[in-house]
Amino acid sequence: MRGRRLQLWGLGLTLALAPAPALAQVSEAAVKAAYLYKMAAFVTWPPGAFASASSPFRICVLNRTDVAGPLSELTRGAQTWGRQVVVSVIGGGQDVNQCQILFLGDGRAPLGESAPVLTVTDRGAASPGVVEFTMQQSHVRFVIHRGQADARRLQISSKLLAVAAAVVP
Amino acid sequence: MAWRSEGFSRRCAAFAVLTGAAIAPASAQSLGELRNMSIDQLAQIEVRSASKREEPLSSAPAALYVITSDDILDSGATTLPEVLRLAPNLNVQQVDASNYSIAARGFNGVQAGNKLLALIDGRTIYTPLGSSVLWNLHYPMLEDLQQIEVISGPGGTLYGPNAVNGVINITSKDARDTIGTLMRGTVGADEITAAVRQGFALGKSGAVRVYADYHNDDGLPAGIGAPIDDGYKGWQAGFRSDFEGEADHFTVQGDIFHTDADTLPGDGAHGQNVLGRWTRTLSPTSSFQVQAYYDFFKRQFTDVLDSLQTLDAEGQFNTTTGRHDLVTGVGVRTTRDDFVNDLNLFHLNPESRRLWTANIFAQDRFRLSEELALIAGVKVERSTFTGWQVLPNLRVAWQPNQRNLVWAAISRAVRTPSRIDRQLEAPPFLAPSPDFESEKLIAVEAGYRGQPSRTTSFSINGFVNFYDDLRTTEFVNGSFQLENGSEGHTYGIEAWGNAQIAPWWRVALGVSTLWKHLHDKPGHTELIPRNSLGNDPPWQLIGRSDFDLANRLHLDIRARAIGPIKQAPRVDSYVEAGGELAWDATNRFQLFLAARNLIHKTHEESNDPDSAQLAKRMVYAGVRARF
Repeated sequence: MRGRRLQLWGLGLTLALAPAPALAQVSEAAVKAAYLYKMAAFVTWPPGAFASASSPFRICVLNRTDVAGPLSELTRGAQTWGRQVVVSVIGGGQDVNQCQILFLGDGRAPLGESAPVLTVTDRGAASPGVVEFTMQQSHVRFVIHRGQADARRLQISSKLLAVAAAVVP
Repeated sequence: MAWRSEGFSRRCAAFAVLTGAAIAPASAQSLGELRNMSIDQLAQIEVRSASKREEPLSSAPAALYVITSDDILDSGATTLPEVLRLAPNLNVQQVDASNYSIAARGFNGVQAGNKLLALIDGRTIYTPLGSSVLWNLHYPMLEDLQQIEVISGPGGTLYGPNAVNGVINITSKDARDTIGTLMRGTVGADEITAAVRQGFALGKSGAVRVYADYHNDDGLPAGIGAPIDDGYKGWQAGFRSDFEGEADHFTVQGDIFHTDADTLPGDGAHGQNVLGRWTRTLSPTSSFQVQAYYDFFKRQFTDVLDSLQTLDAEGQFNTTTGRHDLVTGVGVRTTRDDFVNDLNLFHLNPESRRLWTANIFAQDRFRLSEELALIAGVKVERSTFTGWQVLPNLRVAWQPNQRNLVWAAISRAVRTPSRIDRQLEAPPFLAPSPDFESEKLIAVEAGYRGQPSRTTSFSINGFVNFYDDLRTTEFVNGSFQLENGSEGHTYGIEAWGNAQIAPWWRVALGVSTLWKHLHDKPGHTELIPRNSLGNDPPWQLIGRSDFDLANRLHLDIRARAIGPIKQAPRVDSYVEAGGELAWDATNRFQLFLAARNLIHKTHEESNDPDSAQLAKRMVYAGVRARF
């Protein structure tokens, strides 16, 4: 309901102080995969988002093996929020309401408007998710759509908001 | 033909880049390093394949203004034409409670407005009667619109017929993005609206929504035109469903509407349409799309009956090879109309007629370098009234970085004769014009679009349009007749930009100017210039200021200053303002207070001597709920 007014946070400072990692250039998809996994720690899901106490933490990737591949590697044996991380590649045949994080790329999935799922999209997607990846001079950054997070009852930590390239109310 | 967009071919190109990345996975070593990085370190990694596909501004080399779904909701507008006032490159004139005339780059007017292509989800909505758009036949649910692209200037190769001076491309949201219930109601002294939409998932990969939208507008005070009882009420309902398979996307949608006008008993309109579209991705670099629709409407106004049945089928194939993005396509449309006038002498001969239009097109976007692209396209078009017409366009786009785009274009466009151009007669006053030819345009344009800083965006376009064979009303052999008797050029500048001044305050400003130098060709004398050459203000200025006043409280103010219409009957310049104060009471309920034309109780907008009423101050309150 709100205009997409960009609210800029003091990210320039944080970034300038952190040392640039000495990495051989990696693929855009691998960095996105790492974000998908790392973001889980900065988001709080509402009660009832998990079917049971022993349900795994599910990160779903729609039709994107380039992201799902590195993501599976990265999360092998990993836990978050005390739950085992499971990566699912969805080809249109699975109930996405069971996912905690859902990477849609520029695609879509039939998801309830208020389902407690952290939707992640690429820039240019017809409808942006809670988190929207964007490229800035060969860096993968992201924009957070707060209204969407509210509608899905997800609490985003201030740390994640501070790293975001922009926060849309 | 909305889907013939630049975006479509870009998506295919994007897919190629992604699969390229998949073939060369990151090494295990770097993955291990990624695992140990903090989230702000991730933000600094330089990645391969920094493709242009995620560029922040559209690379379409045209004078493009986009109205987003948020813009639509924040504006407080309740009808499509009021939404279109947001575009600085459109001139919107309210004619009566439900009728508007809308134009880009001139030639506005109830009779003269015939050079614009408007589409809703790929369905063309200008009518072949006079090549104008009857805006009061279209009440889509505004909450479910995805965006409105407004292109001033010829649409280039990829849009269908009649894209001469501009294109308004309205698209609704994918059904998978509208799951849930939405209800809206507005109440004001002069207008009531109510709408409900229900969207639900269908199977694992599809969704459908159904909606119904009711509107009831009181008539406006009499203006330049005859005092008429122009109150208007009705409803529109419809559905849209989207399904996605492994490589396929299907869309099926339709609408039905019924309206009652107060003018005379029985006046009003009704109609229905259904559209199907199938997109298949053949490979990472190629895809095709086919679309077909059926549309029917019938309207009655002051003893005139007008009906139109349209069947349209189109196909398009996109492929990327090397540095070339190729798009080819074909479209065919047939209409059957019926126009019966019991009000006065003017009638069509024959009253009912089937017309055909067909076109074939091809376009190549050739990437000369990372920064420079050349777009060459040609469309070959034929209609019942004309032979094959060749419409080429050549564009160049220079994008030195993600923040700046400079473009230039030269295009040829034509407006093919309408039924009125060829077959309107009123013996002995008006003789038909069986030899009326297409109006022709060569448009030369250039523009810049960019983001000078992180908090500002700016766009400026200039154009010179060279017209030939424009319509004139002349006196020939003892009676009036429509002729191709005028020519000349127009030029102007359109510019708009916005700036985030503070985290809670955003402003936007847009301006467009128009100079017209149209004159009679040798041996011709135009007698009624308002009917063909347009009723256009030479300038307009549109401003907007958005404030986040407090948590959940938002104020959106819009103002416009519109220059005078000097064509008789004259309309003076005016300044008007409106906007919306919205309070998101909860995440599910929004209350808003909205107004339009707040400064004056009434003002003149249209100079149509037959029908123009006065635009009026309107204030209304609304509620919107989502479940």
